[in-house]
Amino acid sequence: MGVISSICHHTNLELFFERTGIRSEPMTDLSRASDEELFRLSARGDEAAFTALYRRRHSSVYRFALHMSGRPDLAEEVTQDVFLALIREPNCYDAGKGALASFLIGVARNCVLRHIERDRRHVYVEDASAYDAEADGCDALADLSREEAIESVRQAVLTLPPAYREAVVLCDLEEMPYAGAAEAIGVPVGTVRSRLNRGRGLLLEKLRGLRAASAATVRCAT
Amino acid sequence: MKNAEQLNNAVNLLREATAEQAAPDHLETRLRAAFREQHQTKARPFWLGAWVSAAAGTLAVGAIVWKLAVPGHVEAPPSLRPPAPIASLGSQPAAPVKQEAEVVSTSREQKAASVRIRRSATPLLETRDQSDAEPTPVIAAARTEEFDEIPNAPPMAPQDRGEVIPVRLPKQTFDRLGIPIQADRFRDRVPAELFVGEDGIPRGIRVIYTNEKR
Repeated sequence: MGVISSICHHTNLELFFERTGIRSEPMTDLSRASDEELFRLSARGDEAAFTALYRRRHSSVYRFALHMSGRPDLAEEVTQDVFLALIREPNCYDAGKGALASFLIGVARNCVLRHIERDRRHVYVEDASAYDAEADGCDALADLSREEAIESVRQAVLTLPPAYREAVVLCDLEEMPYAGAAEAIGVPVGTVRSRLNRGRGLLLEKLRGLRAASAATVRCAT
Repeated sequence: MKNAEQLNNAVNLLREATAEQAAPDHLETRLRAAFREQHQTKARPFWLGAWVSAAAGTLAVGAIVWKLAVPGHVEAPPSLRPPAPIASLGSQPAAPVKQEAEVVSTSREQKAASVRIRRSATPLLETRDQSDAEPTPVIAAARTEEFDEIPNAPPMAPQDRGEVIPVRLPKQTFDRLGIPIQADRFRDRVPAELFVGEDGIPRGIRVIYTNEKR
């Protein structure tokens, strides 16, 4: 179907851009504006500014929610809720209290934790002795394909207690500075550091435990 | 050290694998719609002036034809003269039709002329009461002053509103739409504005020219 004839069959603008293979973009001047400037313009009704802000920040919000929950549908819902809050209640963000990026992650965190509490499926084990001593010292991801290794790490992160999980996700996976993570979580920087340290230790133990469990399964099968 | 290295490798693996993950595109569309609803942005009724002009032009033409058809009649002010009787034009149906058929062009100016001709011709050819006339596509003539009509877009009713959305489009998009642009003023993408109806269907497009080459 040609471009012109396809236009007359479009039912919305989204289809128009899909069919023509183009993507609407906000004017380039906004690309140099800070998050806070974009937010100010957006609060005054500038859709282009909102779009620029969304495109700049939505992926980090989405990934945070995905790493925390393991569910793409929930991550999408949380991302939507975060930016809807920005649209409907712009007064909830105070630039004097911290960066907008941290604020957005903070809102996402609250949404995700509410869902995690409701959906409690994992039992969080902190005691390292629960794992096979034979696994000590071995490379947790050795002999795994890349996809298997990625999935192992993803599962291991999901089994961390939420307080340690969010520290690992923000600081290690999203590479957020300690100060930013502290703002987002609402705790002192020192607390973030200690949670991250503990979370990393648990993560390593869990990876080794997963590998040991996997090796035991192979031994039984053979 | 070995533990830290193993952990870093593991974390790096997951970080690299998920670096490009993002929310689906339809979420942006949904949020922008919510944003517009929240701020209730409405396009200025740019069609209003042209609609008034078209109506005035129709009355003026009708008055002239009526005067020619009834010579010596005491002329009422143009605004009070009724439109020309349809029957008197029955012998001349070819002229408006010929005008429509003549203008077949993709150039901007000629498109505007063809649309204007279509809009002024329509009331003269109608045999029913003016109030029963179907709403003519407001976007067609009204927007030729401002936007280029997107071909084959469905018409809008006069009372419908729309919105102006800034975009940046590849040059070839304008070629495909048959809209001429000053291509040498742009490098790759052309800044433009789309006029989109409330139904989400784009009806018009106009290029934003500035002094700076983009």
